[in-house]
Amino acid sequence: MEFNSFSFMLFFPITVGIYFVLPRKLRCIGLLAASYFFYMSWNAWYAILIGVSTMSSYFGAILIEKKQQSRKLFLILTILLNLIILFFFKYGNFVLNQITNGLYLITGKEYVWYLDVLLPIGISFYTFQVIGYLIDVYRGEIDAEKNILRYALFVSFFPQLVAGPIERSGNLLRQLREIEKINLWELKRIASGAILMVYGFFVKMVIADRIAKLVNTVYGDYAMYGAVELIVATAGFAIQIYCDFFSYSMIALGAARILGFHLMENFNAPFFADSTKDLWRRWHISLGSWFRDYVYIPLGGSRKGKVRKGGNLMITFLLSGLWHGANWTYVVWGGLQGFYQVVSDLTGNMKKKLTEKIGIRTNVFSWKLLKIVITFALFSFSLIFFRSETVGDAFRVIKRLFVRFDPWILFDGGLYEIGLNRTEMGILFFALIVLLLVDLVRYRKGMMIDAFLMSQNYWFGCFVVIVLLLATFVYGVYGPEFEAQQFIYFQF
Amino acid sequence: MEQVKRRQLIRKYIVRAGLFFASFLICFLFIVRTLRFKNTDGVYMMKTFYEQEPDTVDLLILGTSHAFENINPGVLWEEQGVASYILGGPNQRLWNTYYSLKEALKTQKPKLVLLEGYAVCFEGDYVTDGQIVSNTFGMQWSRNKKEAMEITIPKKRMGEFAPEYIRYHSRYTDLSSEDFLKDKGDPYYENWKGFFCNFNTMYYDTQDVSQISDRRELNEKNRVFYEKILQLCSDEQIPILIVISPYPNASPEDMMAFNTAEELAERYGAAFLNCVREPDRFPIDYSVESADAEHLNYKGNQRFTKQLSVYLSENYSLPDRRGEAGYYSWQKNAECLNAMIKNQELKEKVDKEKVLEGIGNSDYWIFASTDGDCSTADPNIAEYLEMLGIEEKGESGIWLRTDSDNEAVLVGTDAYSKYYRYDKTDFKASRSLEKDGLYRCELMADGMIYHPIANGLTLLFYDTVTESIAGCVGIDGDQGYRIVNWYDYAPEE
Repeated sequence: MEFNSFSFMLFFPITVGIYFVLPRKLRCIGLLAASYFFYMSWNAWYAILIGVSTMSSYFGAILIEKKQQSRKLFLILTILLNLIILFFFKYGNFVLNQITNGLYLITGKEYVWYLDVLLPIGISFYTFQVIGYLIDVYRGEIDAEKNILRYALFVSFFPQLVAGPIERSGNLLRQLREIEKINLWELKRIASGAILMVYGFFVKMVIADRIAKLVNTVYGDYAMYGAVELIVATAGFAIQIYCDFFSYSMIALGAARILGFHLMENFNAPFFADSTKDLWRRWHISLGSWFRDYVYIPLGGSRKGKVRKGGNLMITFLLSGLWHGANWTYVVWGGLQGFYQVVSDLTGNMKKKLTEKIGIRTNVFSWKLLKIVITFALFSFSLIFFRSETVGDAFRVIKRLFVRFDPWILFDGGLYEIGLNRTEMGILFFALIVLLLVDLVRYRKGMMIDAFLMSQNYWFGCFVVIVLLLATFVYGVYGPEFEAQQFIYFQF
Repeated sequence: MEQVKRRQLIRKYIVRAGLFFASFLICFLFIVRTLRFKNTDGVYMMKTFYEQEPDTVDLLILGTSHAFENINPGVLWEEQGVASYILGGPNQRLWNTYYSLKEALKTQKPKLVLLEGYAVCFEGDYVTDGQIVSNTFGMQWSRNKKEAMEITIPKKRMGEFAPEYIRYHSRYTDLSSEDFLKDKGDPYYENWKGFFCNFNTMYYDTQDVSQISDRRELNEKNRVFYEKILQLCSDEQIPILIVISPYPNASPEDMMAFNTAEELAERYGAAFLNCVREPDRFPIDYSVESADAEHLNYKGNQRFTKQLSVYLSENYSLPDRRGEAGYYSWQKNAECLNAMIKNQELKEKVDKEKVLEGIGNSDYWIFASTDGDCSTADPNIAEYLEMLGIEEKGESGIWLRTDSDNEAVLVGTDAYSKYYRYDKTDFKASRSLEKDGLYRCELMADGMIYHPIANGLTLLFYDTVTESIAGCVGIDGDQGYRIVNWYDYAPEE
């Protein structure tokens, strides 16, 4: 059941309605039932996997807490068990593929080995959430949860189950422990959640799914397109993946807020970042902070010298790339992110001296804008790997950027023949302006759209929400004429 | 005090929430009204049917496009004063006809149901998406509509048609004035009775199938609902007449299906009139009276409907509603149809008689312009000028005769430009000096330029009944004052 589906439009209000009238003691079990229903709507067998993950980590955490002497062992075992499950379902076929490729190179014989398994939706997210919890218990940052139902809800909480944010026990579990005390009938909080959801649907259905048509057209047949189309499609993919993921996070945050919970933010105007380091403070924050706290810092972080720091960064980002999918393209993408950070680190002083020598003013808008543009360009470039089917494809796309330069398509109407016609481009343009303005407010004032609108006059807030709702209704990509896109991060 | 403040706060929130939802609902309903389908064939038919006064429709005509293109309610009204309404749909299957009939009987109690029975020929249990929309989306939500949709749409595809806005929300690229204006901005739809008058003419080779007496099996689903229609009429004690109207490409297979349908009708005591079997009694000249392979054009439908109305008067006692209160819309509908037909005749092959007839039509605005070296002194155009009441001697310019004037008024000479408006139609009448030192007019209506000749008299006819251009001719001085029809050379719209 996707967020942008008719079933969810029915499921969510019914769930909220029931939840709001349930006795306080039954709230936890009510939400748990709803969460499992939500998850099983994809495939009922998934419940077994998440159940295994839940039970193993539940008991694992209790043992970690109780058995002080063998706590490290229990930590490792429980993490390993969950990683094995994740590895089996997510990377099993990838590994088999590499083995068969290697055998073919050695022996010349073709082998066809594959596992007939479906990747359970959200497994990467809840596995990491569970591992984070185990480590938090190990570190003494939180007590092991004794209430199995509450813990199961922490793992399976439906707004953030399938595509994050990857919640921390210190945030979500703590709130769940107070579930009976939450005053549900707080109208401002409900309105705030509703605004976030409305905006999330707008971004997903009007922007992300619309721009996907252009991206899919060009990347689906990249050998037919020149540099300009590929640049437009690559930048478009950057916007698509941001809007897609950001919208999911907005809907998740909004839904959780209506239910009385505050999830962590996952994006903070990332395309206003002025460096790749800054970008990763703003992009997929829950994953970035997870890797920082549970991989980078335990590896030593920046405490062991520049070389070690560089190595730690590379490992962290390579793993982060691998987390995204079982394909070398994701690994290369992750590696590029690490590379950017390492190079940025190493050249920091040199850049400063150079700008001083040339006399470039760095505390002005133009310089900031240049850095923002360069950061966006670097990030978009790396997404060529993320979007391509294979590393070879990605290199072929990059090659075409240089060998087939075709600027005339910007003037001869060719831009309207790569998936979106003039009308659709116009709609996209105006929708992107809305996105830009909302992100600008976030960047400059630190306010999300709900807070901003609620700080304005009521009529203005009403007007904006009504316009967003109607725009989604009219211009949203849904219905039999369109191919509504699944959320991209569902595949991870 | 606390309680008072709390109550005030709650009241404030309720008012705000109420304002929000009310504003949203108003905007949403406007958008739905604008975007939803308004197909003339199907959706709009049902919509205007609901607008008919209850218990006013005496003859309910059902069926496919054979019904709403071959049977002319304007002619039925003029011939016999029959108040009829056509509730059909494109390629409408009999299951949709059944539910349309059920829907119609909620508000009407017709004296006769006429089922145009071409649909008995159809095979297949499901139709195209466009036909699903046309045949179901016009109905108001009810159990009847739910059943109609369930029988029309494959179960696994129901989500693609309900809720309906899934289908039409993206029509923003197709919007036109029809979506915003009442009655589609066309006076014909103000008193519409479900008829689409086809003005095309296409010669179609026919074969004589009148002697075929064999039968064939009907599609099972079709047959079931055909019998349900017959049964429903029987239960409601409404006589039903199944008519097969003449059409060019009637095939032997079609006839075999009609024969089977006739046999079934007999079992229910229903009358069956197969006009294809009786070409002598219902003659049609397919060389000039067919619009395409399936339908009659404006000449054909008039002729056929006259023949049909004779049959109806001989076999049924349908009341003559002419002059009765509550039936004014049928009169207006007939007048509008007549005006449309007259306009079409003026657009087709025109001769002097037609032009003079047009000038004599008081429903027309007429722009008259002498172009090039032509003036009112020219004896070759004197007859036209006299009919227009133009008295100026030796004058060259643009005259306008509106429907309230008997005489055309000289509105401009030499270089001239002025705008006029009739209801929603904008005109621009201008004259300019050309390179040869002579003045010529340019008549523009709703963005289209009418300029048939370089020297002579130009006449632009605008029909105030249909609010459309009725015709444009030039009496061409360069071609011996031959009548030139602008529509013979007009660019395609």
